[in-house]
Amino acid sequence: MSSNILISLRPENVIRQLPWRLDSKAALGFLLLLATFSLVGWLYLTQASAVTATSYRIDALRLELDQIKNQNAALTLEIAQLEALSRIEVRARELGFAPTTNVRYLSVANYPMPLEPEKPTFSVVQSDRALDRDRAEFDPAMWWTDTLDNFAAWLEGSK
Amino acid sequence: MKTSDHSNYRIITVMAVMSAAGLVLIGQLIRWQVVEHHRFAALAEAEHQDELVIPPHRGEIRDRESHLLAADVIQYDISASPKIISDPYATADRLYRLLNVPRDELLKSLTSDSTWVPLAKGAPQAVGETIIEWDIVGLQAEPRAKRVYPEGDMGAHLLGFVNTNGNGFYGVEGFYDDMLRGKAGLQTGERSPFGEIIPLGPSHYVPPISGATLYLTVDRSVQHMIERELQTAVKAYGAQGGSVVVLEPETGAILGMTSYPAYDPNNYNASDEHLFFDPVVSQQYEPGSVFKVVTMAAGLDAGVIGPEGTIYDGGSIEVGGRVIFNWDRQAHETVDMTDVLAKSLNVGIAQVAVALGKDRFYTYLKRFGFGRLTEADLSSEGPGTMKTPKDADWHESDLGTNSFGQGVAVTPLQIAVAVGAIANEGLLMKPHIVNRVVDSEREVEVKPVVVRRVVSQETATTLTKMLVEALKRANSEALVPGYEVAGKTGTAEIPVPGGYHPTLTLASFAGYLPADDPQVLVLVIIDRPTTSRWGNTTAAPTFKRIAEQLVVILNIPPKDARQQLASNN
Repeated sequence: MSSNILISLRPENVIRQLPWRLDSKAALGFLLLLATFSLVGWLYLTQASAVTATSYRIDALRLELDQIKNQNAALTLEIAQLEALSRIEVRARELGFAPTTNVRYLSVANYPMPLEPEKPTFSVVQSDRALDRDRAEFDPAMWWTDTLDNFAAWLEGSK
Repeated sequence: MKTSDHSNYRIITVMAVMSAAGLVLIGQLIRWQVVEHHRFAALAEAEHQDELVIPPHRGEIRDRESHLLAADVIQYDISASPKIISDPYATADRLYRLLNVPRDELLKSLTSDSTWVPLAKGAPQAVGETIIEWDIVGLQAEPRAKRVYPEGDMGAHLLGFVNTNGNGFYGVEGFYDDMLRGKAGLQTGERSPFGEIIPLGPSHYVPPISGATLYLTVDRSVQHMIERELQTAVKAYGAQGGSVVVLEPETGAILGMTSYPAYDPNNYNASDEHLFFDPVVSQQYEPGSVFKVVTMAAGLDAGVIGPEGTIYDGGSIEVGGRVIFNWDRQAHETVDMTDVLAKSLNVGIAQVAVALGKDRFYTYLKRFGFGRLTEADLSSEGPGTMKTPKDADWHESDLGTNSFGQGVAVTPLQIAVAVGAIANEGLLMKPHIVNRVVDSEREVEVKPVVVRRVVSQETATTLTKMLVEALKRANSEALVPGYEVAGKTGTAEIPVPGGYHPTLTLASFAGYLPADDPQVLVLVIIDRPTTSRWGNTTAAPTFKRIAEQLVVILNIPPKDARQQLASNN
């Protein structure tokens, strides 16, 4: 009677008697699945961490770029303020310079220079201006104004 | 039995109440989860999502040689939330040197009961960035763009200004505001409890697009010089103000343009509002005898007079019932057309207008662009005022007075453009101040635009010769040694209620040089000079001083040097 109720507490017996005891193949499959999920999870976390770090880095670089651009703008402005003509004029006068009042042009034979002074804005525009000149001969708006004026004059004359 | 029935009744009642309550709950759940699902989902999304508008950089303004005239600089507004600053004493110790503010004053602000206190406005960029680096909770540094004009008050009227909200007003800033301001960027994403956008997760970043950079036709050396000369002239002649316009007649490009008094666009708040309007495009005035150039051009072009033709000047002429006199009240008897210009004879020019007739005369005035906008790319331009025979208030006598610039109101730019048409062989050019527009995508060069032909090339050439000769005959103060100058003085009386002011005048001179190949046109207006009321003794010498320096700045050799150069080549 007593042997029937006796329960062995040795670990191997306990494990053997567990109700969810799996066979070794199922256990291996379970472990593989766990490892796969862990790997995927680890990969996801690594990627997410890298993306976050990169995003923060991009934000920081964007901020740094903005700051550098702003510093550049401030320096450009400072240069412009130092180059301001009112300031240069004062400095030049302090150094003994004066405005040019008597300019003499000298003709130097065979001096290499273009026949006409270059006018950058003209070189492109002149060909178009030739067209514009032709177009300007007839101005519809002006023609209409003239026609109305003439008609008004004719009406006044007929009265 | 009775007790059992009563008990059942209570149980049924409780069950019914609970069922009803359950139904209400289920109904509400269906409403929230199904019927209004999208609304609540959007509310939840909005709670987590944040939108950050990134302001764009306003475009720069540069002169034709790329010298900077206007640009943005970042400044910081420093403020604090005293209640969340953990150690105000240590913060004050760090801040007071940086902000250059007394420590006690700073400490008083940082220990006040207010939820927010401003500490400094417009602090330099370095200060703002240092405070951001400190990362002290409760201390804020808010960036703000400020428009700066490095040349100070130079070109104030033509540039305009930008207010604290980033809106451009007047001049180029006003006219090209949309182009200069750029397009704001946008950053959207999930918001952290601190209100910052979390980099991880769905986010969207649209970078801001900076405003276009404008390259003007203005030459800052020319601008600086005309401003200096105008101020000198206004002081020397005891005038109230004045204007100068420098144009390139062949293209309509504005090389310089100024009016005095002006203001400093860096500190526009300190100036009177009426100074913001640019008199060159906004203020109309009676041009006086400079207008004779237009009447003479019309007469020559219509063929009612010739350059050699003569008229008899009996000292007065009646037009439409009004007697017109010469400025000197003298009769000059038989004079040719060049003398009419040289002696500035009202009687002579009125005869030209009468010979033209009202219809042809006003048609020519319209062709020259009077009474309408020049459509220059500048803000707040006015059209002037010109009555025509179609207007009810026009009178026959207006034909006579208008011929010498009385009773007609024009803007200085209109006069400059009209005289420029004579210099440009009869072609009226559209005035413009922007030469090139450069933005992130393209570069556009502004080409000169011919508005219309106002007189024939022959008429323009003939009139130029007459104007040159007229200045020589009058021994004008505007003559520039070595150069042939074509031009005309004007002394306009100033209209007041009931007539004209007995003494005050508006003296002017419009001229161009070299006359055989006009490269630059200058209009000088001196407002109410007191040392002399005449254009020939105030505006003309100012023109001369300006022209003498212009030929150096713009490298225009004198006539003999150009001829020698041509013969050598």
